[in-house]
Amino acid sequence: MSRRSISAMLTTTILLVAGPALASTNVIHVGGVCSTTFGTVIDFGGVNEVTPWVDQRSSMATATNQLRDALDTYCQGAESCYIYAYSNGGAVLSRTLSLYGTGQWNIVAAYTGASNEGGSELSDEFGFMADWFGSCSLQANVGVSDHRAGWNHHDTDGTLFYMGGGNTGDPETSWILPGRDDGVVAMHSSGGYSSVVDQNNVCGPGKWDFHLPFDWRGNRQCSFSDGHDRMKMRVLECIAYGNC
Amino acid sequence: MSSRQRWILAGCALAACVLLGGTVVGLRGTSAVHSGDTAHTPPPGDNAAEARRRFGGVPPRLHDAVKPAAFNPPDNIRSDYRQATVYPPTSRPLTWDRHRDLIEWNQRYEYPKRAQTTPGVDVLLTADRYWAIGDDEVELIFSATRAGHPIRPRSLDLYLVAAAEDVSVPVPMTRRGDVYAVTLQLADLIPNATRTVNVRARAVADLGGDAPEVLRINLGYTPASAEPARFTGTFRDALEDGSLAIYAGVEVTKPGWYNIDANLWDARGEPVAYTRYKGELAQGRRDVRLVFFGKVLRDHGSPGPFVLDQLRGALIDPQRDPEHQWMRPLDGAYKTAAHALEAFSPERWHSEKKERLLRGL
Repeated sequence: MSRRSISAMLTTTILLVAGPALASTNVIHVGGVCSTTFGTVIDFGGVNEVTPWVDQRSSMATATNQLRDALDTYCQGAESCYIYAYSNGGAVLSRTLSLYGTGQWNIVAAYTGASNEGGSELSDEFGFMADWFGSCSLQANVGVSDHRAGWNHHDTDGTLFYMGGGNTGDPETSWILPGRDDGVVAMHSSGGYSSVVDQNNVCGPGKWDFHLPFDWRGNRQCSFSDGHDRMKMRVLECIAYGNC
Repeated sequence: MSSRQRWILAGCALAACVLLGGTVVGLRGTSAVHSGDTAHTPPPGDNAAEARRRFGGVPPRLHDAVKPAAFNPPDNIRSDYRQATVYPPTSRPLTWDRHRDLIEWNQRYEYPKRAQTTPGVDVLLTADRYWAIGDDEVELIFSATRAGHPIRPRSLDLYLVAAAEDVSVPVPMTRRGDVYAVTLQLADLIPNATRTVNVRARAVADLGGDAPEVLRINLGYTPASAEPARFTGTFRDALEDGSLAIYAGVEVTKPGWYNIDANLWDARGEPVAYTRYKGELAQGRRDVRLVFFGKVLRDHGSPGPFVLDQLRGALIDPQRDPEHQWMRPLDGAYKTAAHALEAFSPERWHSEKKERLLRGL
């Protein structure tokens, strides 16, 4: 056997062996404020669950750059992605796509649970945020004006955002949050509305471009009867088991 | 096959297995955890394996013993995506009801809320803008009301804090009608800033309750010395591939990745479209191409001339926090040449990525 034929055979072997792994679909999970990784995930069939390091303890800039790195890694070339973002992870995702997205990432769609894309009124009430999330400096910079004036939310780089919001409220905090809420974020935020008005659910008009109510195989959910903590897994469970 | 060739073959096969294993391990996120807290990012195209090692390092834990169904894309994504991408992602219709945040792009979103310390009182701390650029004047406003009627706090103290610059200064507010306000230039209070800084305004008001009421809001301030480029005020426009392209002159002093936004209005003063430029700008005088997609203009139905307004932009510097190093927004607007409505293309947006995604759904 010639050296050339061995080389060709080896190349074929490597391509055959490595091919399926490279042409993969990843589900990237992004957690909430004060988190560094998502933590527990659901092990879906047919995709790779990824929990990249996205540090939301100190600044949106840090988190944005780390998520950008993750998208470069898992959503380019032969790899495609879904993204699931919880709470302030929804803001980090929106910000990353708006600042840096130029069509380079193969993102099929994004799903969010209790997204803080429109900011939380609790951010100005530092004590409330600390009660919910523990203390980190970024808590004081995830308010409504911080996020809404912070970047162009309509530009998701063409990625559809399917957004799920909780509505159970919390007697300690709901009086600060306009409309219905999950105790930490109001529907104007979790539903991707482009203005701050009272909203009962995520299905009304007036959203940022590319922002839609949560919908998985016809299971369109205008609101979930859950609080903010529970919302972290609620949307994923709806996708996984259909118990929406 | 010689013995030497067999060894080469075995070695390469082993390498292929290691490569595959490493890929799968990386995807599953079981490689070493990187706990660095850096805002620095590798440049685009950096080695993917290195990025996996750095950022894919936390193993996911299974949530449930019940195996869920495969994660196949649902049918509605295809139709939703097709409907959403009639226009390109960065050149789309502008409307009063859904895009006011792009028209009043520097507005704030505070509103009166119940005081925590004093029953029956509503309080508000806000400002007339979120971003202050160069010598912008910022007006800060405090109000307190009971049953809709303004009340006077027993005391009111306002502090501006720029932690990164080690600045914390008291700022007196004075009564202006029903509210308390102060107008100031952040350049006077934070003279040594050389980049965009976060500024926190903190008001402490004695409203007669159990404790002082504390309110906080944030602002962003780009000092004049950090402005990375300027709009020169020169423009030209042209019909290109059925769309309207407006070339806005900029003089770039700090090269890098820019976001530049603008809105288009018709002759009646109605909003027509918004557009974005995202890309690298080199140092020197440049023309930034702002594209208003033909079908957006065609569907709106107004002929030219159009007016380009709310032209603003920032250098997005990933080494900074915040990243936005703002340019001074253009003071004024640009009126385009007249273009017949029929000159704009009625075609939907097409792109290779769009077709690829639709094929995969």
